Amino acid sequence: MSPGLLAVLLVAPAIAVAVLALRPGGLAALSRFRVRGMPWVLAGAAVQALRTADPAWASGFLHAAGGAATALVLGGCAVGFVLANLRDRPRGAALAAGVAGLGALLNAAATALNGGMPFSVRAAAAAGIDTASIADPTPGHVPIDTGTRLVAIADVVPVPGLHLVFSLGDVLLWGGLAACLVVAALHTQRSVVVPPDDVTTEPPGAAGVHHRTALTSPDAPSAVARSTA
Amino acid sequence: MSTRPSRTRVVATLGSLATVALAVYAFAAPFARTN
Repeated sequence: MSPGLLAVLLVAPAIAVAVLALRPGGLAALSRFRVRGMPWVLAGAAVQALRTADPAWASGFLHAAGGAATALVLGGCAVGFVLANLRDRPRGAALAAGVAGLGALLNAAATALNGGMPFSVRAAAAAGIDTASIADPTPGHVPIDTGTRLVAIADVVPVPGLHLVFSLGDVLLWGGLAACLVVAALHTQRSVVVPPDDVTTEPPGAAGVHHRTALTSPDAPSAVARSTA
Repeated sequence: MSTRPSRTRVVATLGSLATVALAVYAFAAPFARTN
């Protein structure tokens, strides 16, 4: 795996950890909830690994319907993963999970309609990807040509330092997953009731955050909004 | 009072982060060099 792809895997967790590390107790809050849907993710990862390896014995599945079958399976796994994480989540986390799912579906749509994820040859060159890799791309990717559909959601954004080209769907996926982690963790943190002895150690104005009431609920109007209502 | 996280919490945190990283691998589709 190239360093660029390894960085891609870590971008969402790294963003979430960085944001939560800036808040007192943020990282601890990350441990109080579980990301669900692991079977969907494992199934999707297995299909992705199979597509990248492109073994002869799996050719019938990988190239069925011009490669669309693989994309549809991946899209289905993404939907399953998102649905598994909607239950009992705060509204913001559910919205973020939906954004991540939308990103995955955009990638699946571009892949299904083109027999592989289209990539811009110009963007690949701008990213510093060598001509051999462009001429013989990894299985599952095809160069954009005049017959390519949904070019806007193809891999068209170069990242020279990491030698990769990403898509709009990738951005939605990364951002959505990171936001989902952060919002769910912070919601869990707000839901924790602090014993009375600990309240005195809180900075001024922060104690109420730990006691969810109608006024401190995320859905409640702000103090300014209440005072001007 | 100790603030050291328990092993269970560390495992839970790493599990969530690993699931997200695996989801990115499964559903993202960036193009990268092959060598």
